[in-house]
Amino acid sequence: MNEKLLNKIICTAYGDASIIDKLHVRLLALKNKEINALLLEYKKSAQLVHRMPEESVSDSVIRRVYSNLNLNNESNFVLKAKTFSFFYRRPIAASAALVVVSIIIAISVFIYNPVHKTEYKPEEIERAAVQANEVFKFVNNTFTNAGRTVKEDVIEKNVNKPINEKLNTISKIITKGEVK
Amino acid sequence: MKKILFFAFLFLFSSACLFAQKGNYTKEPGYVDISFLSEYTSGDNGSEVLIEEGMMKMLAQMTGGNDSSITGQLKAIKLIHLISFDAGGDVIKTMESKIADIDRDLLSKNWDRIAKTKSDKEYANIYVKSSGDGKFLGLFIASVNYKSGKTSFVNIVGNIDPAVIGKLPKEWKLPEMLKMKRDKNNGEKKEKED
Repeated sequence: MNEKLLNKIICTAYGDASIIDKLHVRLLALKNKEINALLLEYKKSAQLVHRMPEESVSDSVIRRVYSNLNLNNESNFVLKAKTFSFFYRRPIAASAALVVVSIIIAISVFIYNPVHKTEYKPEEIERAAVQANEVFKFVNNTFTNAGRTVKEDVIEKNVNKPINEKLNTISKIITKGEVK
Repeated sequence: MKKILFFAFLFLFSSACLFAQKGNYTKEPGYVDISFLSEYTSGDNGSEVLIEEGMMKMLAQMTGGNDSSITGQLKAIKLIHLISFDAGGDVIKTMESKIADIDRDLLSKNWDRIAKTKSDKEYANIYVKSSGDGKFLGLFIASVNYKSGKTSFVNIVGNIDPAVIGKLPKEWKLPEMLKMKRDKNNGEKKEKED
């Protein structure tokens, strides 16, 4: 058994391993009795460690430990660790931070409305006004033409003309006295 | 952990919604996608006009409040899209078949065809998209002039009052005023140069 696998087993037992590593170790434990025994043993140790109560230590003690270990930037490290643990260990704090960020984004998007704030050059405005007017003219003409087509081509040709022809025929018949 | 995931999802969803609103007229019920016709406007053969909401609002502001119906109509327009080109020979037949395709598509999407005219000179279809409460949310026109070959497609998106649209070409004075102003400025510049 290599060191890498052993580390993976320990991490899995202590609950720090990634999901892929956990699956890998579990699969190996199912296949190999030795790995399974080792995993169970480390799990027991992990349970014991996790059961141990947390001791609160003052900052001065931590500073002394770091100075004894010759670590100069211990205060930075402690701050980073505290910040990380604040967000990592407190889901409510993380959720609240997310909510605040989303509210800020929402407000900024609503206040900053790019549709109204876009700046146009005078030439662009003039061109758009002329083009829009051309489109309105086209729409108007199409409406008018459609109405004219209905009047001239449909009503005149297909309704009025045949009716007039029939009326003329009837008139001729009446004039000739064919209808008694 | 579940709470974090929930809020993260909420955050991503709300941001996506907010950013999706930005100038997106393609989701409007009165929108008709005619971008596939842009290929026919290449060169001097045709022209394409695309005026979006921001510009329409600017034009409405500049028009002022002399006629509130005109200003209101300009403000309510979210998009004007015109594609116009000269179609000759076989292209006219292709356009007729494309108009027939659009006709089927629009009718299936509950657009109302308010006019379908075909004469020796012209073939034109006019459609409106109704909101159901007496408002028009979009206007679409497809027309082919058999004599000149001029083929045009127009889509106006937004709350539309056809009566106001009808009076705009005559009563909307802004385009003329802007032209006059430019001519005046050009004249003054020339005088200074001389």
